[in-house]
Amino acid sequence: MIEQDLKQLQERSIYIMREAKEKFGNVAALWSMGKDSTAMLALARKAFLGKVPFPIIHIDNGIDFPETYKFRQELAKKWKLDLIVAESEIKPELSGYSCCGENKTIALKKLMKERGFDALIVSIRRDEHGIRAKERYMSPRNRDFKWNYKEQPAELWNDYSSKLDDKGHIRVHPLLDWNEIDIWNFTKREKVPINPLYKSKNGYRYRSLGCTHCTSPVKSNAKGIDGIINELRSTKTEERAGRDQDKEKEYVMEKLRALGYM
Amino acid sequence: MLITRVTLLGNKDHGKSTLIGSMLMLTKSVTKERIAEAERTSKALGRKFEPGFILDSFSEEREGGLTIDTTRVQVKHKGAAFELIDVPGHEELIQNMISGASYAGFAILIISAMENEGITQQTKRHLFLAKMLGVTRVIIAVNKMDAIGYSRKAFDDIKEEMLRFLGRIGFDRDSVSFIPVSAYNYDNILARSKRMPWYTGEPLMQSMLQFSKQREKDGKSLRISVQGSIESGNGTLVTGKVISGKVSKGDTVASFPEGRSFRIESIYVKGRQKPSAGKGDDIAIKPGSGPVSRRGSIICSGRQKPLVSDRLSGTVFFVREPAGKASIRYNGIELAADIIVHKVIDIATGGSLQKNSEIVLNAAKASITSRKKFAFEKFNEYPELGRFTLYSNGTFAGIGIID
Amino acid sequence: MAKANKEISEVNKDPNEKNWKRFYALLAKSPIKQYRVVYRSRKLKNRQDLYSSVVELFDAKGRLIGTVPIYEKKGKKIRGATKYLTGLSNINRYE
Repeated sequence: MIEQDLKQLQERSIYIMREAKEKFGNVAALWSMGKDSTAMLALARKAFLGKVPFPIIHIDNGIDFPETYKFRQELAKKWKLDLIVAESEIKPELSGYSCCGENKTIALKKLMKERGFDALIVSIRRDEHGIRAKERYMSPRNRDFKWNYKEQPAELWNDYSSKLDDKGHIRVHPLLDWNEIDIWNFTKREKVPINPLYKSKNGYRYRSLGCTHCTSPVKSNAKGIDGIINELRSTKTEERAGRDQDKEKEYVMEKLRALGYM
Repeated sequence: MLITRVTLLGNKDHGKSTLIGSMLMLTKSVTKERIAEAERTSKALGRKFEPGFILDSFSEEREGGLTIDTTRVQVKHKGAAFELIDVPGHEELIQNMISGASYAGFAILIISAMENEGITQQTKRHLFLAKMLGVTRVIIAVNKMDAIGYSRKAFDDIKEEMLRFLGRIGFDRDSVSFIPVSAYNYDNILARSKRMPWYTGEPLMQSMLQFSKQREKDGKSLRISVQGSIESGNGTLVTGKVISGKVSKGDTVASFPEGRSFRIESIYVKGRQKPSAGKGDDIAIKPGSGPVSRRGSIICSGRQKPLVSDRLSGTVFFVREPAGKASIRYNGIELAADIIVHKVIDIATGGSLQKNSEIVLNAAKASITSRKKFAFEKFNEYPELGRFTLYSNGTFAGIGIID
Repeated sequence: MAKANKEISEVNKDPNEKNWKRFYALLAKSPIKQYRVVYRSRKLKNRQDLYSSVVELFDAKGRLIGTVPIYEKKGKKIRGATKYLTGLSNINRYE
């Protein structure tokens, strides 16, 4: 895994977040209390000089880890976040991804409609999975959250996308260029608070955090961030090992994206 | 590690995906999961494993054998890191190619040595566009040498024809290098190939290392491109990016097109107060006086100023027939504009065509008159401030550089 | 130390908001310190899968105190209920 220059990475991320706030009236960001979206919040505080000037959304299916709920509570208070918890149902009949996928999208759509957000900051990274490698810094979604990946707009220099239509929104991806290890290097350097589940306990830790249903721990003795970084430097496995969804049919991820699932 | 962005130009059929895949595997820059997934896919589709499968993430691609959009892949080699930005080769996808090329540090162009492939119209168009987008250095990888018996003559012929074309479109001979490769057999990718003893140059990855070490010089005057403003505990701050030069707390600067000067009370870089900022920094400035600088403006030291006008001439490249209301987007602002084409350039030869020739997918010299005056620079002086995009009835229509 | 046995059995009988809130109110004072989530199946294919999954509750020494459901009934809707375990530590272990 390549460790990139943090200055180079931060510059682009800060630029993109400031650009989103300039271009779009009503901006919000998704937060899952994971290392990526929390790093995004830390970057927002840098971009906007100590505050996060837009609402933060947690799409909550109710079966997140208790530690995650505690972390959410504490950091929202510490950083004075304008937190919106959008509750999603768990409907097993919908698909194999009953706790996430469509259920979460439904909750998000409802919230977007209520609040009329024009742009949504989502903390995905290009190195996470092959499909996400096709994303752009700003990517339009139409009213039904569909993403027509075949007609991606040109993203030249600093000319980022505009909305497709009045009822759609733009997905903003400030962390697109970041690798997993860059997030940890940044977290360490900036002393960004992290969910304790990332740290090893009883020989296991969570490398990537979803809800309790979809996430399995991996073997590890990394008790702190330094340990995590050392492990990443020597590892040859993908980050999402331990997230069941990815072991499903090959092309499903892509279909989920097209449906609006983050 | 600082990442050097590399654009991969050329036809998909000429072996681009295989080249990227081979680089990934040889530099051990790919996880075992990715390789296993690629092997599973090729088995399921009844095809022989190709390193190119590692890249294709879209289902349509695996079944059709085409890369639809830009992919970015990172490889590391001897302490340097590269992001390979693959752009698809088909004519109708040229719009995407422009997006891919626009972040390049240098380019690698892949040309197949096979007789029925070789240098195409598209090869030349890609290079012309790359040059237009600011790429000044190119490595030309002549691929599929294995399919033609590693013939020196085939390589030399291609090299000669390309050198002529490159010279015509303005590339320096020193900033171009030619390498005979076989991505499939890993010849001259990482290690020098024993099958081509007549080639005494560097293999591809080594050449990339050399290209990445050449960095742009920055001795230019101060230029800050204004992004907008934010509210902070310290009042309203102007946000922007330092394009060139250096700016310090206490400096007096001027903003254009406003034409007003102001003193810099404080500078924030990444949210923290700093005494100065330099090229590449995203900054926030507290101005000594009230709001002066708006989004799209250019801040300079006052001595050396940008151009301010509502008329400019440029070289434009259309991807769509411009029809109806035209506008240009420059530095985050959009201005309605009239565009008059004076001359059409055949990018395959560099020569002019008749005025009423097809302008789509060709280049043109044009005069642009915007509704409002704005500040800008010539492309060959400040590339980041000398380019714009064209829109026609709200749809992306092309790109341009300011002459 | 107040044991939460009554609250645990109430929430098992009827995992509605009221019972969950009562359980949560007692949690800090109870000996329950750790939890383990046990899903009956890898995929939540139907309501039964959800209803039969549980959270095991342990004291500081790892002794099993009881189990609670993983869901909450809010009128006709089913939602997760792990937020009512905030403050406990995870001891999940999978092969």
